[in-house]
Amino acid sequence: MLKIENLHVEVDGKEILKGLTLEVNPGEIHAVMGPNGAGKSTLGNVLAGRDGFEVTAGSIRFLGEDLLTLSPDERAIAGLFLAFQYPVAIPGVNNAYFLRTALNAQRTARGEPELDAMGFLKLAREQAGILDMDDKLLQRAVNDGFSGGEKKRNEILQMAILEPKLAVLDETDSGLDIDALRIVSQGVNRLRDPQRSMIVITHYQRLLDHIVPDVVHVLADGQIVASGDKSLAMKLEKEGYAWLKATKTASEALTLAS
Amino acid sequence: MTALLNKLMHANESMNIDVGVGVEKLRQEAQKKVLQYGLPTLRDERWKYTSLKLLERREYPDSTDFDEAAAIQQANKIIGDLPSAGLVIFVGECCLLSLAPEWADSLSMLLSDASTGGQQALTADALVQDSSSDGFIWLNLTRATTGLIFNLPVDKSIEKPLHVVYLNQSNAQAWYLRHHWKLAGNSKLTIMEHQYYSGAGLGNIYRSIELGENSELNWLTVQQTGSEFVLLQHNHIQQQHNSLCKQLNLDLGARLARQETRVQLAEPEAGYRYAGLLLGQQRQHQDQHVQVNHEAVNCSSQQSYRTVLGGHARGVVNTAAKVATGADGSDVQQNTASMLLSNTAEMDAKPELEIYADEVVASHGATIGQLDEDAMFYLRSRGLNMDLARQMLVGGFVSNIVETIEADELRAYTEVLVRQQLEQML
Amino acid sequence: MSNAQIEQIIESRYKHGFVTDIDSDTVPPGLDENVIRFISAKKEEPEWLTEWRLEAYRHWLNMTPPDWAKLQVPGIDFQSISYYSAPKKESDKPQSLDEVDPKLLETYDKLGVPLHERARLAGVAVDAVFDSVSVATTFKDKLRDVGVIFCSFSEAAKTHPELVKKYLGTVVPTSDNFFAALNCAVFTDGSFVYIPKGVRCPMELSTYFRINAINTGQFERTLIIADKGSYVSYLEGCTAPMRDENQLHAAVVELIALEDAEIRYSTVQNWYPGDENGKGGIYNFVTKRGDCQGDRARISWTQVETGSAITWKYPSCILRGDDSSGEFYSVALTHNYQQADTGTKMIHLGKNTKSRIISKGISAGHGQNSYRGLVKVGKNADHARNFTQCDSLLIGKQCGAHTFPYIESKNPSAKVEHEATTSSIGEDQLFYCQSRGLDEETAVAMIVNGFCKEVFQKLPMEFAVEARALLEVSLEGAVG
Repeated sequence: MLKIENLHVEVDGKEILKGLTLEVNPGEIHAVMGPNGAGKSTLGNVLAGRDGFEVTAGSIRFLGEDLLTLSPDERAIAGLFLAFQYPVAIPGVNNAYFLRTALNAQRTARGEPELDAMGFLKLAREQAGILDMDDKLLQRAVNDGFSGGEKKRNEILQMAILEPKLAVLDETDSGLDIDALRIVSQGVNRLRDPQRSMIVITHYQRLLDHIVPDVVHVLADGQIVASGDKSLAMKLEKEGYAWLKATKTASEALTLAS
Repeated sequence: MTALLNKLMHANESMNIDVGVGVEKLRQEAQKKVLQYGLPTLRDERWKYTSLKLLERREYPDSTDFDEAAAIQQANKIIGDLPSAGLVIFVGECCLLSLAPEWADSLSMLLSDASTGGQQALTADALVQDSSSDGFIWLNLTRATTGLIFNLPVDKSIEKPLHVVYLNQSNAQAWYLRHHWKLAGNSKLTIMEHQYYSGAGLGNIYRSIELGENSELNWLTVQQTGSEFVLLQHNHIQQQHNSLCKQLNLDLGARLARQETRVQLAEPEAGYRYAGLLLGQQRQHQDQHVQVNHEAVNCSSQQSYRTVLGGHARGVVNTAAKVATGADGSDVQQNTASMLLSNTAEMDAKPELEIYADEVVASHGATIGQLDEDAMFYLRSRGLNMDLARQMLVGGFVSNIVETIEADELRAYTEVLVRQQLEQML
Repeated sequence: MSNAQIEQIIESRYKHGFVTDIDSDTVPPGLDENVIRFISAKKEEPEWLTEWRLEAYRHWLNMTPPDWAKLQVPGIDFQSISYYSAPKKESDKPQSLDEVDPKLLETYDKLGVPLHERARLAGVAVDAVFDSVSVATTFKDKLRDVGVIFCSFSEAAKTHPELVKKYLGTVVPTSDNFFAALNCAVFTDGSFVYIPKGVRCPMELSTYFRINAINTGQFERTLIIADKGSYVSYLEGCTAPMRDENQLHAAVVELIALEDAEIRYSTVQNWYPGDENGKGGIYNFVTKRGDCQGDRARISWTQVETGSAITWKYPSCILRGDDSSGEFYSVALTHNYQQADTGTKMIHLGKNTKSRIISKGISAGHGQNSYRGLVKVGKNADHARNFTQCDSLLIGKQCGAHTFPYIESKNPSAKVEHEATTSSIGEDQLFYCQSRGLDEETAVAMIVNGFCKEVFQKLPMEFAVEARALLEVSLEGAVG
């Protein structure tokens, strides 16, 4: 599904990712954890193709294709989805209209028929219901005046409707209370599928209680310094990120983790 | 400049008709003012950003006969199946009309028509503008022979809009129209204007609008004249107690379109709302000035503009509010947001507040920028290509102007016009 | 101002006269080329500077006074002013504080002006002043050590003619505006500052410490040059009202910041505002402009304007260098019959240029306060960025607060944001303060101080404390 090799990324001339390697197979959920400033959000932004994140070395292959040559919309059409940590508000643009346009752009590109307004609205209402999301949010401007929790639900709603092959959830748990976290996680879990992979980026282990990952990676100083199963997340939760700093090399950390 | 003035003062003289002694006197007064003030130059604060060079280069031959059937056909095509309580067509300085019966007791068309109050309206209102030193206002008074003149009676409410269509069939002329609209107490009216001039002509339109106590005017103007046309408009609005004026302007066309609106909130609780959309492309120059004077307590005014400029277009928005001593409880809001789409477009904004009263809430905001990069990335990350994402964002940017139109049919109609124009621009 | 009041002002000027004694060092009222040659000769100026003055004068002859917009300015007879008078003899000055107007002394008291400064400010003869010369001397030594040139303009014209010639008039040309042109022709003295490459000026430079600062006259000229990578903070004026007999002040300040240089210029202006009936007071018509010539240059203007009958000034920045930045922080207070028309111009020419404008206007009594500003983004100013916030506060029913911003953009990648609000002091705010035991005057002062906080924070610390006290004194009698 996704193969990242020795990825180096600079932002404003400063190297953030320093040789990141990661492979995600179909159906797998990978959690990427790490302290602030480790480069977690950079990973999400690079995958989605944001300007200003300059790849200086390494490669990313998505479904066998070179992801880095694709524009953000081409990546979305290819099946990549980023749930934003801070979804931007777009005043004046109707949420339902936006989402239908996006869905139909993707369907058209894939040679599928467009969904009409009625069909779309039915689908959107259904999915909104599952996420315990007020229908009215569909008729408001995109994320405009939404609360933190509403924005995150709106992200998962888009994911449910666009049905990506690979979803990257960037700190989807931040700013959510326990109830909202549970609902959002349920929404995500419903989308688990042998053909769909996910990368869950988070600072805290608590999200992983709800969305149980197959693999947990620890990102520190621009590299994956440890990988393991869910117990690695538990260990991090218990001991904090400080123990990572004590370890000198990635291999040492790996040893510790296993 | 005197050459231009000379040209304009004598343009279209064949249209001169007998206007009666009273009006003739006014015109002589006006002519003196024209000669006294001359035409504005870039040194005049309100014309700072708008040059008349283009007008100087042009000639303004006399008018010719017109084809009535063709005009009616064109007007009907413009209006389509919009609800209507009547249609007034101005072809140059000629007028055609077809009205619903409820208009029977309140309308007169020609300034010279004393029996229906045309002259009366003119003499009563014309010199109100005497404080202005803008030569074009006075030129209008010396030259205009026709216009839409009505006096809507007390308590009369006309639901469907009255449509006013502006056309021309000959190229490169100068036309003068003078409107006097009066709404008596508790009356209510919607007027929708459609300006579809073409060619390299010059339109000079003046409107005097009086709103009686508790009256309400919904006034919507679509300006989509041809890309060589010059349209100069002046409006003077006087509002009495608790009256409400809602003005919406869509500036989509013209080579040079300049409109100056002066609003007098003369009595308590009067309210004025302006929503303006300027969509400029090619070499268009669109210039909007609105000056609202709060003269009594508890009046409110809101001005809201969205400007999108591409090509070599230039936009000018001057919002001004003056709150007089004693006009306490005034509420003033102005906001202007502009977007430049090309390296050669230019925007000038001048939001002014002049406040001499206590207990006033006044604010203005003005921004100039381009498409928000974060929003662009967000849309594209959902699969929208560059063009689609741009269209959606610009559409969203301008949407709150058109959304102020309450009537569904009119809103839908204008939405289509805006979308078409944006598609051309993006 | 009524005609009668204007007449009174003019009359009073004649009564006391600008020229107190007729000796060979004073020219009679009036202005012509001979007067300019006389001034230049008195200053022992080089030929090119005399010619420069004359050129300005010839421009001025063809200019008309500015269109005052919102200001009510009595006509000024420029031929009735004497353009050069030698410094007063010590014997003509008050010989001690006992001879100084008690009202002035009372104000010093309220402002907490140290005793030894009061005499200097009140213009008491130097030999009677508890002297600050020794302080100033140490100060000069320190500056000399790092190579900073800080002296009077006249001195600089003699000792550093190459610098003066290179930069004088490059930011504010002789033909810039009516008052600037007049200043160019007849300026008497002012400050000159040069900060060499890479030098961070070790202390705040203040007119206070400039020897010969006294009697620079009504046409002051300041030129500050910050060479590559240098830094300087300059303080002008002081919070205590200065005794001054000139009614018209038309100063010019030019700042030049080269690559990576930074200039911070702070002003506290508290000239005589006239009395509570609007009689008397200074006309303060100043042209201040900075040129961010080099890449990454920075110029910041901070001003607290509480004095003068009429203030007319727009400290501006030309953002020529790429990545250069300009700032304008202003508090302008008008009380009684004072008028202020002030603001800034930010001209964005270079790429990635930034500007920030924070303006706080306070109007009380019959005061009229206008913000007038221009933000202009040129064609090549890619990614230029401006933020403007201008707020007005009204205290009372007779005053006025006005905002006239011009925003012009020719570059699609630029982002300009302007916000403005006007409001009166809220009854509920006042009531809240009063219910906690503050009297109305203290409450108003507190609210006004809060309103101005963002600007005060930009002032050097001692200055900020003084500015706060000044605001309180200036607002006395504004409520009730």
